[in-house]
Amino acid sequence: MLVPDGTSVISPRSFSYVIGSFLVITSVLLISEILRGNSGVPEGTEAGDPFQKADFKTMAQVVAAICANVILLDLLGFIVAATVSFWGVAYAFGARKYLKDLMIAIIFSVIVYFGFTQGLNINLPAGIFADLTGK
Amino acid sequence: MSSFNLLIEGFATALTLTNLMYGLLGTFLGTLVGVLPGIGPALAIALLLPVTASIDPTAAIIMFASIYYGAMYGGSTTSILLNTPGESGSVITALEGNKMARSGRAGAALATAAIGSFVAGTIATLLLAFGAPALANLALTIKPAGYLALMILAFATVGTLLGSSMIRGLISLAVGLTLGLVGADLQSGAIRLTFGNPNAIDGIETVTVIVAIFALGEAVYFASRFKNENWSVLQIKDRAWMSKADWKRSWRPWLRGTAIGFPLGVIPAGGSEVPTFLSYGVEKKLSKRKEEFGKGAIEGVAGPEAANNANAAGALVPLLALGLPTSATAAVVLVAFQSFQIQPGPMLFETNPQIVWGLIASLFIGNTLLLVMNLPFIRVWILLLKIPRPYLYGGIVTLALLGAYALNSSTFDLQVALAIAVLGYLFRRFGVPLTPLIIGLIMGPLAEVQFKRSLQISNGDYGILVEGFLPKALYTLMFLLILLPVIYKAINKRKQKELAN
Repeated sequence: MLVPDGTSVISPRSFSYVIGSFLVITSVLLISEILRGNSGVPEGTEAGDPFQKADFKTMAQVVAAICANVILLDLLGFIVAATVSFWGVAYAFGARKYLKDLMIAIIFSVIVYFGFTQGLNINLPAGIFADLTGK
Repeated sequence: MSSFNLLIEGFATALTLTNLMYGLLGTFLGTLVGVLPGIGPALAIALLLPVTASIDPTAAIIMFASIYYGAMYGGSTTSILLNTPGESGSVITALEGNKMARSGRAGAALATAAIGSFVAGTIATLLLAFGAPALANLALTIKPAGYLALMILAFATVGTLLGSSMIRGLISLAVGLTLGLVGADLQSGAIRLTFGNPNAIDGIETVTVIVAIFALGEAVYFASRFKNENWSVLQIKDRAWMSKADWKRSWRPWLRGTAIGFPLGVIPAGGSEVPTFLSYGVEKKLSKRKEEFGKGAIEGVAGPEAANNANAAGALVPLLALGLPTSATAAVVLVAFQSFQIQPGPMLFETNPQIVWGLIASLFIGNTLLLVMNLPFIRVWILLLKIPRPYLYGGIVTLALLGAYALNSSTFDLQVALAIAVLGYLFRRFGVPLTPLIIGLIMGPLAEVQFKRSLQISNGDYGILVEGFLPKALYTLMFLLILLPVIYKAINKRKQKELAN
């Protein structure tokens, strides 16, 4: 930690140490609780009680769609990134009418893009459509 | 000026054409997002935060008040009509309301929920209008050490009351507090926990964490567990209104629910879980038709739903008067305030009366608008429940990523969102509650300010932290709250052992 000299009587370290100790103590307690056999119950959501076995394939697809958005946003702009993440998540959740899904993803992304940039004055990367959108 | 006059002035602020339009837009958007399955009130507000970025503070705060109530309303519709419970505050509503809907009484369930919310909301907002300024006045005398004690008490109750085990609540809180430390220290400028990343100097953006943990974490968790299960939307066969008998059975539960929900919102009880359960228990005990409970008793919808809404209004009392959020949703409202450089707390009533009173007045207006908008148009709202699940989640994830990015136009925030999404998945998978993390993240830095102020006053003597009546009383209360359940459990175990012998 970089601490500037003589700024205050109270070092910015002290509070951090309190939080740090708290984190360490609770971690140790949690580990001991897990070792004693209480390893936690998966949470239910609005869809009801969870399956017993995790479906890691679907999960990986959703994570991949999120990653794609993060990577593509700066490279190709919002419309492409949003289309990919919308379509990717929809695919993971079982959408298989590829063309229809893609059309909906594009329409959604374009509406959101113009709604935010024109309607709300929030900057979103135009990317490859920079010329078309006038940015 | 008396509270009453100020409130009238608040109405004058809220009722200007522009502000009324924003209020209307807020109730509309709040209900819209709240009805969508998988989006709770906290996430709804966080997602709508960028929408208000370019409007003036008073209008924005009024809009948030309307979104806050709107999202609460929307949530109850979802939990009555979907086949299974939703976020914690609506679990009970879902329990009875769903059973009612199954037996063809969806209309009555929706009506008692909506009218009950209106009644509870109006009474609770009235209590808020007179309670919050009084509390703020009182709070002006509280010293930094007292504030710190209040915050630590809030941490302790939020951390220990929620989730499957006390330790899991506390670990969630600890992670939140640690995330809150990241970045430059406000007073000294010391750089903490950035690990050399210049983007982290401004700290972890709270909105990013909220949308990531609630939306992205939920989507990832959902994908891993629920893919093939389909939710079915129950039909409304009757009119969305109540018979005379329903009214007769509903009005007492509404009032009792309000009486339970409001005070439990004011104290840090960690959200609407506890009051709705309590209200349900009370109604079941007092009812002459106990056998109907669990099969669709209207009292079991009316009471908890009123408690839920009164609780939401109650949570605004400590938020406005002390700057302390007692639920995840209230914490998000605090972030909304902060994004306009408004710090809720005792000084707010002095420095920004037009905003506070405009907000309170718009709560009344929003509450009324909701009743007018919801019941007659319920069939329109239900169409939202019919959005195919793949598109719904595609939209939620994309909008959440947009929300994480838009505040600072920063790719770093998106990377943080990705990491928090994984954390959100793990928390859900292993039964760790999310609310303590949000509270810790938002309140941690505020607690540090009070911590340092106290120590500056005492010149570094830690004794000041427990000096005076208020800190001592609060810390004693905290230890009792934590230790009593533990002792109770130990005694019970002993008794069972003795019985076994």
